[in-house]
Amino acid sequence: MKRATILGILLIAAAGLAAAEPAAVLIKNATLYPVTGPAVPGGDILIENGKITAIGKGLQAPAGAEVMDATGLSVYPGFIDGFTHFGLAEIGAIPSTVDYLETGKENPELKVAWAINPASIHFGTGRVTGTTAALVTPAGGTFPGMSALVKMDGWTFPEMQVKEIATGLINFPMTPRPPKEGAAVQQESKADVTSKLVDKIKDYLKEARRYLEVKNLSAKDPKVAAPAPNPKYEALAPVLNGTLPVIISVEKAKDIELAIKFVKDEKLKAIFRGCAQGFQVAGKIKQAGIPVIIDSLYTGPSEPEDGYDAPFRNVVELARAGVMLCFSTGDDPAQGKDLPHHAAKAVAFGLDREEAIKALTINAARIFGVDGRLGSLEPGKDADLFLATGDPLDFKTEVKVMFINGRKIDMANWWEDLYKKWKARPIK
Amino acid sequence: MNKRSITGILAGLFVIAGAVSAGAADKPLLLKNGNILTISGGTIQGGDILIRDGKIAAVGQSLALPAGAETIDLQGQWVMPGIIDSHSHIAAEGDLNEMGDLMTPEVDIKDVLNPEDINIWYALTGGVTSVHTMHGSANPIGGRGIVLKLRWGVKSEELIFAGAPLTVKWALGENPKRSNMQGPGPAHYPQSRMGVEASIRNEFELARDYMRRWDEYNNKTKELGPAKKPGAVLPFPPRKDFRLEVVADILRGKYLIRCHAYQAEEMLSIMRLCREYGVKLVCFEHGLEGYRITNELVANGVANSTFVDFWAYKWEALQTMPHSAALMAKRGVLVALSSDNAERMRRLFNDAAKTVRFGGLSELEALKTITINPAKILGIDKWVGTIEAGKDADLAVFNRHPLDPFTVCEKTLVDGKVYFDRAKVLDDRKKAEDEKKKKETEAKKPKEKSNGGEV
Amino acid sequence: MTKAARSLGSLMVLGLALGIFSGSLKAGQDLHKVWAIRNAKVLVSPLRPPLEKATVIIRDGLIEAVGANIAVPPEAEVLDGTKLLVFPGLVDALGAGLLKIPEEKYDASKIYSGEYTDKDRGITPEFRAFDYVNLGKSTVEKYHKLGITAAQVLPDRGIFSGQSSVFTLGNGDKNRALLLKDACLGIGFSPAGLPIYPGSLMGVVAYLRQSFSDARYFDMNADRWQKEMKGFPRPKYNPQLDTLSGFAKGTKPVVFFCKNQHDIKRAIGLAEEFKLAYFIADVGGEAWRVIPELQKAKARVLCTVSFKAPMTSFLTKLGKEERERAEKEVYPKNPAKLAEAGIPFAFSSLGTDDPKSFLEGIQKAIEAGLPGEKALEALTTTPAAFLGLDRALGTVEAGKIANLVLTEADLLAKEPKVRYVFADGERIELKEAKATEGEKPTVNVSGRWEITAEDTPKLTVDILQEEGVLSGKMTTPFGVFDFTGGSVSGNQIDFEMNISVGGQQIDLYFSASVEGDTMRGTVVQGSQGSSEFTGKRIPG
Repeated sequence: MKRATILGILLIAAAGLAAAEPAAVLIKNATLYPVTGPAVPGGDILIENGKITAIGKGLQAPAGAEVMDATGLSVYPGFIDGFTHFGLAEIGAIPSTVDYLETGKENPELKVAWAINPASIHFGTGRVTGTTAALVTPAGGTFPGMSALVKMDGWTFPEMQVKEIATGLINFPMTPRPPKEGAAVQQESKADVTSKLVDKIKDYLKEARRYLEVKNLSAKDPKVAAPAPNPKYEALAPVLNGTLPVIISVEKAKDIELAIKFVKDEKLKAIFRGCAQGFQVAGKIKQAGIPVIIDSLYTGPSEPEDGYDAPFRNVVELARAGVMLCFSTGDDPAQGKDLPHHAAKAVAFGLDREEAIKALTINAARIFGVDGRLGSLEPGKDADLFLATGDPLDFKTEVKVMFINGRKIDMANWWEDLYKKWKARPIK
Repeated sequence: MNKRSITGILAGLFVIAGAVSAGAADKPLLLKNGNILTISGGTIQGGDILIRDGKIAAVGQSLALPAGAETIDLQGQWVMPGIIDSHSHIAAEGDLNEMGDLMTPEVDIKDVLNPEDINIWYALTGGVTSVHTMHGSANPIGGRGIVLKLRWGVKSEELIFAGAPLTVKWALGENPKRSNMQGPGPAHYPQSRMGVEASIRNEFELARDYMRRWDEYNNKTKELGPAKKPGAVLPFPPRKDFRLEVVADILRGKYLIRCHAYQAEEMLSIMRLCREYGVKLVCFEHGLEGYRITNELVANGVANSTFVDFWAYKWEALQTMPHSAALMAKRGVLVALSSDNAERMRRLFNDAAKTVRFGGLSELEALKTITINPAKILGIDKWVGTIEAGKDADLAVFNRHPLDPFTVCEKTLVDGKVYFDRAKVLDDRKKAEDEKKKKETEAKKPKEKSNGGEV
Repeated sequence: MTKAARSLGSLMVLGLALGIFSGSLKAGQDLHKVWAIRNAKVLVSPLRPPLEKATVIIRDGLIEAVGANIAVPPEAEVLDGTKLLVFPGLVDALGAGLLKIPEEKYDASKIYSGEYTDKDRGITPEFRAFDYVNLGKSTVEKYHKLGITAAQVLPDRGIFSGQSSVFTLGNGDKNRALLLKDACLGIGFSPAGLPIYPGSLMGVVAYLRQSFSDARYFDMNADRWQKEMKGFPRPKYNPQLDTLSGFAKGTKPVVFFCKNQHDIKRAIGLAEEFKLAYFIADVGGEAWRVIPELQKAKARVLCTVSFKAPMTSFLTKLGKEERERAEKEVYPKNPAKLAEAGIPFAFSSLGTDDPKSFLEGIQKAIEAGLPGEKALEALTTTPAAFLGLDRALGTVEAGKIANLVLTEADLLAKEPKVRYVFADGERIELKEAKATEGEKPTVNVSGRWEITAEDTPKLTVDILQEEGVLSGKMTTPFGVFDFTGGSVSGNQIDFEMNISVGGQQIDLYFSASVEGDTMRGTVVQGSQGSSEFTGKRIPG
């Protein structure tokens, strides 16, 4: 077979995008899991013009509606992946295909939105287990830029967009890790270093505030000279006045405490990401009212003394303390399909299954301020949902049908295409 | 220090000079009332396993309790054969790639075993009892690997799986080409797949020449016999070259070859080369395009130790799908799922479950990919890989079926000895936390006043 | 001529022209060849009870007699040992502190293009510690303060680090001080790192195997040619293999630098495979974890005392608290455990920054349970035996080299108060007492100074002040000369050196008071007079 070009890949992946849609679809006789309400066995759900318009039993199909018999299937609201690089990377080892990493420490004005490639193969493969929306983020430096919240389907970015600018981001400095095995000298971590770096961040924000203040004054008073235009500081304005949430990536307990103080001092609306040692300070995180995006659970403990099951236990403890959580697949878009499996791992180690489902749906929507549109099966919300052969947290479950914005999604993807083709090679 | 903390107890294992000795527990052990996934003989609901001297003495229902035996009531938990990871890099000290030269089969993982690698412990928490630790994939012919049993706390030589055949690691494709890690300085040879294969062929020829020169010397010495004629010129031996010795032994079939490869054409090509030289290629590592050449893999008797869904991290890992493992297995290829990575090693049972959805493997076939299949590939199936009387008591106990999404490994036994017990870990953790709390509350108590008189 | 005669410069010129200094100074050195230490408590050997009120006679660098009732020769200089303990001079079984190796930087780009040398690879068996030893007074003084009078010197680096030499620590002349040349070959399991071969630990092991095999082969090949020549092609000379072959034969020992317990096992394996004579330098301090293997192999251990848990140790992976506990409670027990198991070991200063921390480490080992006599054995009789020098060192017995330590308290106590050291029969008085008697320094004279004296070309002096002690060098038109001593008390400094001018030796003694960047004082030239001098600190 001729080696496919990168262009070729993208063309194949575009197959996922749906063709013409009927005006209405009535899904009948499925077990419905609205999330914000009790399950509805033998239930019906009506989709019209991209929205859920009715849920119940024995619903009537409006004229021209497609009727789908979903006997034996379960219907869930589409899952929301809380932190990804979907559409910004194809192959990690090939730099020309990696687009989420800019150089430099301060890039708060960079927006991922229009850089997202809707035809990336990973949208197609990432949604096979039920993900219908994802937060796409930049990385690198201290202020990597601004994330966007997108649907996992659309011909162009505007068609995928839920929020063009969903959050800002700050990568918090990390207390030096213990040296890797083989390191010649074991150096003690100096707690001061982290604080100094945090002070540098504070100074930067202070400068931004100053800039905005002077700009404001000069707008009102012509005698005040306007400062030289600075798009970076401009971009920080909504973060600084608390209208745009900012995701702060932080892992160790000491750093989390520093970050909580930082958020309070700077009066930011924060979301934490990671919090590997969050279980040690769960009460403080709860008290600060900061939600947490759980990073991929395909990881080991932050420090051996946290225990072998620390990543999973962490989720359980945070939930127990009442911290609002959502799950994410993290840095590798090729691993996007495993979103529900991270949740399943947390359930295995003690998280209540209902809480896990909430974290994948309504809580994620709440965290990103889109719970008016997403996160549950309720009339008026976007028709983002899927029909599965069983528990979506189960590896063995298959997602048979998926709707995004009320459109049925062609579940063909990179994998299915290869499978179909090579299954057909004759056995000798 | 919290003496009760689990880490403290693990540390205690290493403080004792001589540490914990390997080998079987002294008393017979009866695991009773479990759901036993024997792999070779069906599932036994509510069954028992009797362990004696590190071996499975009997499997069945309502087994008699021998005198002096200890019992563990599994209370309906699930038992499967200990998971075998046939592609790993744990328990070795130092760099796993010898990158200073192109062909380095003279290096041997056996020389650098590290029984103190905490990843051994982490693997036990995921039900893994044996691993095959190898050289990395930076060289077309890398070094010699070794099969280990995860006997946490023993000395380095006691980790070795006695009787396991010896292996050598080869690598094709981007990694030996060093495509993704060019340092400063001029490009080094080989930069192409054809160069990689040519360098292997070249090494075979060097080895053949080496073997010829030694044969010549040995023959001449034999000819002269014990009585040496005066004036007879004694032959002088060639220089002993440890590297070529190993390549010569590869040509003589003494090593099982494990070849890292991704793309279909490089796999086909190396199989041809091996046929030409009579080299026994046993298994492709990763082989993510293996689903394209199942006919050829079966015809050549080559297995595939692969990932279910680690892909797209480099170009050669793109043309693949999670269905690959199942499709290959259904077409008669011997398929094992492996980790190549200490983190994935702990959830190989989750990976196995994925082959049910992607490619439609049966649950039994899915479990085989992490038990008897890797055992066969490693040549250790005589001892492990299924739960049968006579085999080693390497077992993993889960609180639910191992392919269940919410399953957790509860106990792991190697040679009949419990090396991981989740209940005990949790208990020790709780005790340590209670002790810590007690110390904190005591420290907070106000100091006593020397006399309580009025001020 | 008086004024001119007093100036340093013209004295030098005069000395050159008239040979004024010939003879007289040299004569003084012969005065101290015979010593009698009287009425001291003499610890003849760690294995025997001490002699009370004994006398030790030293003649021509050797111990002539030891005993309670010994006649004192009339020509002997008497040292009253009434309140003193006499110990055999301690032996540092292996250390790198006396080496002065010029720093070399390697070119990274060359390495990536394959142009690296054996030095870059850490393969330098032809490196000789003898060529780089520094027995300067100020360096050696640090060892004397701890009672160390002999040492084996070798760096711990790379794969084949080089060949050690053993010296008495007294006279600065290494030819005079030499006890054994090119005694031991150092072998380490330290790959230089990729992309140099060998770049991995397993590569080092394979490389060592191949090297010893090749050394034997080279020997066999060279022997064969020597014997036959006719019709037999001669081998290509290989200096590295030639060096290795002496050690591959087993006639000279190698020393394996072992960073952890696994290195020890690797070392024993290699030594047994190639039948090498060897020592285990327990750099990682983990010998206690492989005692059965050491016993079976009848291995001889060089025990280090920095007690830092190596990175491979599980005990370093459980958090800071656990690691600190291991380094405080577990690893210091190493020597005690070896002693208990009957494994012969000597103490090595490898891994410690200076002799003071070497002694502190040994004291830690004693606190952790090593009996004092065992510690002393590991510093005297055992290292002497290991080095094959037990007929010459290790005890205070007639016929042995006069390496002795005279202290006010037990040598391994917290405050031994070493007063004198004899090295090769030469007495060295330790000025430590003086430094502590003086005031705390109120000035810092570290730096470069320009010295001006009447009718003398400008001289440059570089001084390093460490607590109350000065070290440094003076640069003159006749050469550069190291200080032989120096101290600071309050704002008074003094330093001395021995310069040679045209074959003549002159002792110079500078004494000055310091204010800021100026010093003013007197310089005394031997016993020939003095002149005033001033010094100005050179900035930058």
